[in-house]
Amino acid sequence: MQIRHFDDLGYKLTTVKTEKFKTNLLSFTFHSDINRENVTKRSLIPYVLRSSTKRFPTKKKFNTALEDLYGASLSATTEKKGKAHNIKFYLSLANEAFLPGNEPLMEEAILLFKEMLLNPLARDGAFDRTVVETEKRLLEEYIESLYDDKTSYALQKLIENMCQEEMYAINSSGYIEDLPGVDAHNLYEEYQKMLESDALEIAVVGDIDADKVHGLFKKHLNLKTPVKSKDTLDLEEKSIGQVEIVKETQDIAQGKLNIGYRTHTRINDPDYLPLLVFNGMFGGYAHSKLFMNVREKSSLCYYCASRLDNFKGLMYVYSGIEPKNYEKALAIIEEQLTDMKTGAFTEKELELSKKSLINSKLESLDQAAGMLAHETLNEMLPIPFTVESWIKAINSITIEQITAVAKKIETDTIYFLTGKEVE
Amino acid sequence: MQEKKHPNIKETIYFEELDNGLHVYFINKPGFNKTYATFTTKYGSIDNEFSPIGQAAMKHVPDGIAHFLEHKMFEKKDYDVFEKFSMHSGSANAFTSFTRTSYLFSCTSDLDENLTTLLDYVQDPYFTPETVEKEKGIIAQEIRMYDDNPDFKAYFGIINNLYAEHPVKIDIAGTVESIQDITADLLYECYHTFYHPSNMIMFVIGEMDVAHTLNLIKENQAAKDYVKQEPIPRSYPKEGAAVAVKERTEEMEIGTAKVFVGIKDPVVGRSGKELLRADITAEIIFDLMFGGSSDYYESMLNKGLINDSFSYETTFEPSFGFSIVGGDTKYPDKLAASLVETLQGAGSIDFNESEFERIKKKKMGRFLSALNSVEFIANQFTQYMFNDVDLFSILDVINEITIDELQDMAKSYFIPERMSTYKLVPKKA
Repeated sequence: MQIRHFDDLGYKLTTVKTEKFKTNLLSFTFHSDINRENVTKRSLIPYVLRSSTKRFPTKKKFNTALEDLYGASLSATTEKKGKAHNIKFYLSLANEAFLPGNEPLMEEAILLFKEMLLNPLARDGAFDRTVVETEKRLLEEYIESLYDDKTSYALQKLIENMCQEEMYAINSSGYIEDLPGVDAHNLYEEYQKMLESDALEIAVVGDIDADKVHGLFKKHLNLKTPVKSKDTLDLEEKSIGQVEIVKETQDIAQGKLNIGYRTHTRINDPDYLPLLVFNGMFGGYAHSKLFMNVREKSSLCYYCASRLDNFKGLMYVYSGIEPKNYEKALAIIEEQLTDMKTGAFTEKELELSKKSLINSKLESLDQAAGMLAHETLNEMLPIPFTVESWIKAINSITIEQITAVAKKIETDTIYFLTGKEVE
Repeated sequence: MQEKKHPNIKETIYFEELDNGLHVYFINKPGFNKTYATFTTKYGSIDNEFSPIGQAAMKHVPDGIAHFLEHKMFEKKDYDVFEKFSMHSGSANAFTSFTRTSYLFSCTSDLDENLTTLLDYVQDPYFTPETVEKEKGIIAQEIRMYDDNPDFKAYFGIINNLYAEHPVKIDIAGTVESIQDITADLLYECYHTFYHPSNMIMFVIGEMDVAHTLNLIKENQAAKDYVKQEPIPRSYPKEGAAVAVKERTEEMEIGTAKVFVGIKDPVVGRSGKELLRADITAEIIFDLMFGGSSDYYESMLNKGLINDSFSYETTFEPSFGFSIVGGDTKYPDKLAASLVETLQGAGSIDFNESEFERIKKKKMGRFLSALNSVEFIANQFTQYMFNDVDLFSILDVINEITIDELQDMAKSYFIPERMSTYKLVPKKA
């Protein structure tokens, strides 16, 4: 794996050369601070761009062009990362070496992306009205469908409740109530703002020649502006008086228990790595305390796990249980956290967590997305990690560091989505 | 050891059948950190009637038992399976499908130790009445989790419309009621019947010394007394060509309706290249009719009848097969009527040569993309091999399929009596 960075084109271009894959992946990320006022428009932009261009004025024509490039796939999405709202595009295409004919797929793909980004179906400062109305409908139906996935619905509700005074509560997909106010004209203005002010990052992963790829971008996508910087970590904090408990009843078969915590620890903090090891021991793996005690010992659930958000300093515990077992499950989960804080765990649990984390890290580097994630992480650290130094740092973490980082963790909010026959 | 080279995708596959009947496959992936191994039995949720080992008579077992058995394989008298893998930088898991149960791990070091753990824990069952009872609580919550999942409910909803008898209609995990009948003795009986090496495939992919790894597996197996066994007699109920239920609507606590239209494939007993060809031909027809570059997709989007959840899929196995198309919609009745009408008209479509060639190109590119995943290769290869299909022949088959085959299948597969409609709609307040 050879990594190169280029910053002479108005954005950050990263190339990762590897022979592991039969395809090449191009990723494009537009970073901006998340903002309640424009989040819905920003959520709509990538889908409007992905639907049509001047050269390919319908979805059918656009999709046909992609199919002609040996089924290149171009996906658009938005995400919230810390305090950032990112608009992302992924373009995945076959490596021509495996195909008959040796067509120059990479250059065609870059041209296709450029067409999408800079030549949308628009005129007189407005997108095509029909396109915008269709994409508004699709976004509305997508947001509505989030209600139907009860597991992620419950997690989203937890976040909205625990962060209600913070920017973090803003939903990255946008809001249905904003949609009537979005039109082809003001959406186009937002798109121009995105082009002007967002920090753009482009990454290319595959069996590529870095200089050649850089040359292609220089030829076709030279923005001739300085590279903009980005800022992702969300430092907003909250002082917790007492634990908030929110219950919602729906006609469902299983209760979804979600607990939100403040870790007060983020990626650039010195105890970030101890927190990762803590999480592996607490609820990250099948040998963790939550899995062993809530599932294996008590048979209360099929899944019970913990997850970290290290851009914001949050932790979530989530489990699906019988509504009547709410108190029982809660008590066992709390007991596990107390044990972590008081050091009631074995050397072996520590060892297992370290080994599992290292294993996950090494495995992730077999995937293009994992390679890029490692790079993204490194940018945020005072001293970047090589894979080797990261492993060494994980292995050196002590019991004292684990209990210290555990003691910082505070329970913030409990959100229980429960069935009708509760109690 | 046999060796088969696939120069067009730069992969070589190594194979050996061991004395006890186990089939072992390897793919060497220099430069990869991860090695991924699956140990799979040809035994899934549809195998609920069979002759247990050593018995002549057919026996019917409770719904969900193959999946229950998968859970219980992780229980050991004196050690924890997950922990044993983790100690050697391995991560273990398992899954049960309609036709197979697979035990797997990935690791970034200590391949020998992890492979030994995999073979030994799957070949050493330990069930007691107490541990079986305890598992019922865990699996009941797994079933409840799926009960709240509308996509899952709609998927099994349409399959239940299509099939009257075939056990493909049964939820893989069974029901909270059906799993109550499962006992330690029944688990042992299923285990000894289906977990014989003659009924299993071991697949290892990653950077390794292939000869050394084969030797390790050979020695491990030679030390256990398995004798090669004949195929297991299984029985599937007679299933008519027509669908069980033409149309059905159910309600759920959801905000958006879902509509699926399904087609049942009445042909049974296909295997090998014939099965693969039928599968890919059906997929190409659906791509042409409903894909992102089709007129239908564009017109339905513009009419507001479909959204980004619109999808289609085809599943062809020797004993059952079906295709499903649909998704979320504000207008379930209109979408259902339109899908049925379009499917019924498939027989008279005059397929366009250049569109056909373009979809072929797309399928090739997507297949290459799937090959980036060692998990995909191991899991798909095994599934196909149980049906005597070589996964890596897909590129050749895509190339070989002719437009005449498309026309033939469009006429023989898309028959109105074999189509059914399922709607899942929001509960009325």
